[in-house]
Amino acid sequence: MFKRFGQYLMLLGTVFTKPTKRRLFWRQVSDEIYNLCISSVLIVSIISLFVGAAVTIQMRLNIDSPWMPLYAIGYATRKAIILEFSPTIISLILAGKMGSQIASQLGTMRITEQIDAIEVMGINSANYLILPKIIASLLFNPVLIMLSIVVALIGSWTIGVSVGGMTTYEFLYGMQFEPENFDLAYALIKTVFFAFLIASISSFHGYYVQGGALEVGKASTKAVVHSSIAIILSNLLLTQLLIS
Amino acid sequence: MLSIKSIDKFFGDRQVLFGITMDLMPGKANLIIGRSGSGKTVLMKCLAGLLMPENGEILFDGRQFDERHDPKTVNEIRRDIGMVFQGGALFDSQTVLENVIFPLDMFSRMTRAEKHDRAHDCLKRVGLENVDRLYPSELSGGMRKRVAIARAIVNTPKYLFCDEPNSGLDPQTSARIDALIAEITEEYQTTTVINTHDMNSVLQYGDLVHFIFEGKRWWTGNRHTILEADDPELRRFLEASELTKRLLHA
Repeated sequence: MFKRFGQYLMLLGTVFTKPTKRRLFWRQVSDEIYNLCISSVLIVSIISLFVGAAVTIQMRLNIDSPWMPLYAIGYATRKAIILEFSPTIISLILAGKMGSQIASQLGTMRITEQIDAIEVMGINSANYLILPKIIASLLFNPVLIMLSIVVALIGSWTIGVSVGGMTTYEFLYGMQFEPENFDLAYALIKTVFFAFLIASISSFHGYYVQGGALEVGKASTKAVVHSSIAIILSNLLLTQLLIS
Repeated sequence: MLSIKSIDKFFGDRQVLFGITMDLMPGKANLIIGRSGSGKTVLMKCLAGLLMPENGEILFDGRQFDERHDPKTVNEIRRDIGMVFQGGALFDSQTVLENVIFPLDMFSRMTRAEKHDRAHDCLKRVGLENVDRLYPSELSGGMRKRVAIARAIVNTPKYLFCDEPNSGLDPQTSARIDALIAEITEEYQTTTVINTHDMNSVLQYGDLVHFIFEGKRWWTGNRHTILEADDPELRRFLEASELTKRLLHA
């Protein structure tokens, strides 16, 4: 395990070097934003909409007391979505979607000697293939998480007003109650950190595949499992560091 | 001159190359033959810098090819190398034209129009026209190999390495690929190194032939002398092919 971690760190050392051609590098980044991130917009939106609604129903049922004002549902939902659901749960979803995509792409390139073809030309293949994925994730995952927050709150409002017995005024009052700008900053800091973990861990598993199609499949699975574990562990660490 | 001096290669405890020493003829087709698992591909990967031998040295025109020793020189040498992989190793996500232009995009200062012209010239040279916009998955095996050759020669390399260029191809396409590599070697004066099992290729254009057996350089000769060799291992290898078996017993 320590050997693999050392190999991961050494790979990162190779990845973070100057790209061979800057113009090509930014073209690669924009391609990766499209391939990895834009293609995730639909799944992020669907999950956020329905989970936002479900969280509101749960809140409504659990805060069903005459002592609790209805706007507390909006307030609690906002906190749950911004602090945990969007940055952490959506990052876990992205670890599944993006992680398997990255690992299988790089793994296939490895077993079909496409990575060797890049190396033979004198190009740093790790830098050429992995850095654009990491940069694309760092740049665009925060956008996806912001989108998730907005869509989840829309889902929450829709269900809160339609079946939760709340008025739009009560919901919006709760949403704006005791605003804390740091909540959003906390969500974005976590997202950037998770984006790095997803892209780098998945790339590591894909880049070092040896064997055939079966190993590519195993690498994809490992990429998702290890990225998810890394997200959950670092979530605990970051929460302790940033909020406590 | 490309020289290999006493190289050893290990994978863990298993040694796969044993003190291989050989000189390869500049501007000619140098063939490396041997049974599967004899170490041909490992040797070629060492030559291309994809694997580092534990002992010995590889010299390109007297310059040592060792990343641990001098990474800058290794990168300079790599710009002079073109390689055709066994499966073609074309980039799936790029069209044929993008694949061929790729090395130019990375290293040349040509304008876009110049790059397109050069890539089209190379594709024409390998007999492929009007396939620019196709993706590798839309090509036949022979066409993929030819695109791979076009990509390998687009930067006019001094050294061309071909790993089993006609594996998995029908005899007619295989002969066409052989002829193409021989023509390119002649035309560009590249030092071409070809790993092959195909005795047709050996007899057709083996200016220099090295036989590798169990990780050792076992025999060296050329297409004219190979049938007269009396080495028992080499003869066993040659007799496995119906063509050379008939020639040996003719």
